[in-house]
This record gives sequence, structure tokens and C-alpha cells, in this order.
Amino acid sequence: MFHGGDRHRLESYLERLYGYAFSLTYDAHKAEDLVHDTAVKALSARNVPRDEAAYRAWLFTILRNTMIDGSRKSSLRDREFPETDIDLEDGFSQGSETEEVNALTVRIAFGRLPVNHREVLAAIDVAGLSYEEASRVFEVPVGTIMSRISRARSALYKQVEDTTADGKVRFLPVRRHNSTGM
Amino acid sequence: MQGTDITPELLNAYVDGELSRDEAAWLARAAARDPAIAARIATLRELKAAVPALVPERRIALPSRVRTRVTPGFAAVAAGLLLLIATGMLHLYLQSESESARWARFLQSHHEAWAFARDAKPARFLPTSGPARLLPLDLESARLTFVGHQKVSFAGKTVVRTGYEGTRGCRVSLYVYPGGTVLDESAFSQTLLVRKWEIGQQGFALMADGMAKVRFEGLARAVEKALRAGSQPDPGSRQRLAQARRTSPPCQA
Repeated sequence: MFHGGDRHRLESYLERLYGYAFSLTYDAHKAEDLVHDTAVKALSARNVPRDEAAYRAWLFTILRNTMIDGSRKSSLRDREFPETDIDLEDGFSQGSETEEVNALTVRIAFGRLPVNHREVLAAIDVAGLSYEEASRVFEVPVGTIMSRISRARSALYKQVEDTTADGKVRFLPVRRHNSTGM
Repeated sequence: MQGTDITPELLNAYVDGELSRDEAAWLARAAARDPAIAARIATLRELKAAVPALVPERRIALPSRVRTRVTPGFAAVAAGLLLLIATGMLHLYLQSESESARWARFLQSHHEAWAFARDAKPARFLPTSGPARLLPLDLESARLTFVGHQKVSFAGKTVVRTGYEGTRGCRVSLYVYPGGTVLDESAFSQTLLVRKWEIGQQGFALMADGMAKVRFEGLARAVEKALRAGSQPDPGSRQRLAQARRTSPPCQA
């Protein structure tokens, strides 16, 4: 058995852990398994960070390492997720027509990104980690996280543009402008 | 800093709430002067808000058992527990302060970067339950006109802003965020007027800059009262809002 306080503390992060795992696997069952394995490891650990930011980074590091260990076996880490892996309907809340189209467009575009871009986007935008916390998870300086998130969003923007250019979907709210960084 | 210093990294750090208060304020001013910068920021925010929507909702339960830890003696447990509680409380306090400061920086910079798509259709991403379902509130008696909703994401949470503009330069943001978010009014810049409250599972933060403090306080009371009552501002509130507007100077934003 483990301490009730540990459980309560961990429970507050389950949703974010799942979001991070799903963003990387695009598979609800794999993501759930990853969160489960992470929870077991976290609850079994003897040395648990007390500082909340360190604890958060520690949890996501466990999940990331668990995923990498699993990916080594299946070579999952080095491949991009094909569109056929993306279930376009299941489990998603319905918004306005524009919002649904945008969500679909970004979903397809996100799935086409290399895993290193998806990873940093998932850490910052889905898991809600700060740059400092992400730097601990990825074991790189904060400046590197700054560069990576910038490049990843730029790549996502280009993928969204490519997706819309295919004529498959529209992406309405993105304002067009001439800039080098987007 | 100069205009040439605005790199993609800096813009991304801005939308992620990672800049210092001074840097964020400087960039907000640059965005207010240059529509191209404002557009880049708006696009980055849209991308940032779109990514969390990739994740379907799913309830995750913790495993019920894992291997048992080695149990130390009772005295050691008691002493350790006391130390843990004391340390935990200190860390919780420090962490809350840090989280609050991050949220404050993010919301303040978002409020200051004022950009709305004027032709936006009514947003269906607003919560359909709880008091936020009432938004936008009718604040015309205060001569504040609804200009749009925006959905943004921060620290893994969805935040919705409802914007209002006055006829004399006033800009008012009403943010809705998940209840329980650590946010302290004192963490904001003193030049920004902020009132926050929670109703059920939803947190609200009303913000304005340059508005007479008395008028803002009255506006915050009227908005909170309407949301708690689950209805648009009542005739008495409307009258007070109109009176406060008549007797206050123009906003100095």
C-alpha cells in the first residue's frame, strides 16, 4: 500500500500525464498504459521530490523514460505517426463548425510532425510545464527549450498551411502575415 | 530592448508566460504599436490553444496497490511526518506563490495584448454549464460593448477571455478558468486593476487598466453578483454602473 497523500498528489497530475502521453502516442490505450506504469513507478519510489515543480518534472521524466524504453522495443520513437493512426471521431467534444475544422486540421498537422517537435509541444502546451520544468525533463538548458518550442510551433504552423493547401480542411483563424518566425 | 530584438523565441516565450514582467510589458507595448507583431502573437496563441484540444477526455484511475515500502519504526515515522508536514507546508506556500506569479504574468500580458477578430461568430467553446454559460454579460449600461471571446491555454488549462471596450478608451477582460487555479491578485502589476472570485468549479478574473478604481470596483461587484445570481445584471446594478460611468474620468490605458 502507499501513502494517501502520495496518491492524492499524483492524482492531480493524471490528466496532464495522460495528455502528454496521448500527444506522443496518438493511442488512447497506449497512453493509458503509460500513465499507469508511471503511476506505479512514482508510487513505489522511495525518493520523491517534495518541491512541487521538481515533482512535476520528475513525473514527466518517468513517463518519458517509460515511453522511450517501450519505444526501443518497437522502434516507435523514430517513426512518424501515419494519419491512419489518428481516430478522427472518438472521444472528442463537439464545438462550433469552425472549431471542429481547426481541431481536425491541427490534429492532422500535429501527427505529421517529427517526434522531437511533438514532444516539446506536448510538454509545454498539453502538460503545461514551464520552460524550466521542461528543461529538467529533457535534460537540456532552458535556452534550448526556448529554441525548440519556437521551432516546433513554426513547424506546426507550416504543417497546418500544407494541410489547408491540400484542400482537405480549412484553418480559418490563423492570420496570414509575412514573418520569418512562424 | 529594441524592435529588432523581437525574435520568434521571444514571442513564443511571451505567449507561454515565460518573460519577466518588464519584458512582457515591453513586448505588449510593441504589439500595440505594430499590428504585424500583434498578428504573430495572435497566431501563436491560436496554435498554443489548439494543441491541448488534440487530447480526448478520459478518466484515469490510479492503480490500487503497488509493492509495500519498507516501514521504519514508529518514532521515526512520527518525527519524519512532522518534518514532512512542516517542509511540505513551506514548499506548498513557495510553490503557490510561484504558480500564482506565472499565472499573473500570463494573464496580464494577454490582457495587454488586445486583439479581437471583430467578425467572430458566437463562441461555442464557452462552458455550457456553470455561471460562465451567461457570457457575454450585457454591460451596455456601463457603456462597455462586448467585442469577442478568445480561448487560450496556459499550464495545461483552458482559459476563456471575454472582452469589452468602452467609448472612452476602456478595455475590460473577464477571464474564466478552472476553479482551484492558484492566482493571487497581489501578484499582478499595481497599474492593473484585478478582481477575482470563484463560483463552483469556475474561477473568474476581471481586469482593466486605466479605469477609475471606484468604477472598476463597482463593475466587479456587478459582474460577480450577476454571475452568482445566474442572470444578467439587474436594474439596480445597471443603474449603478451607468452612474459610475457618468461620474468617472475616461480610462487612461
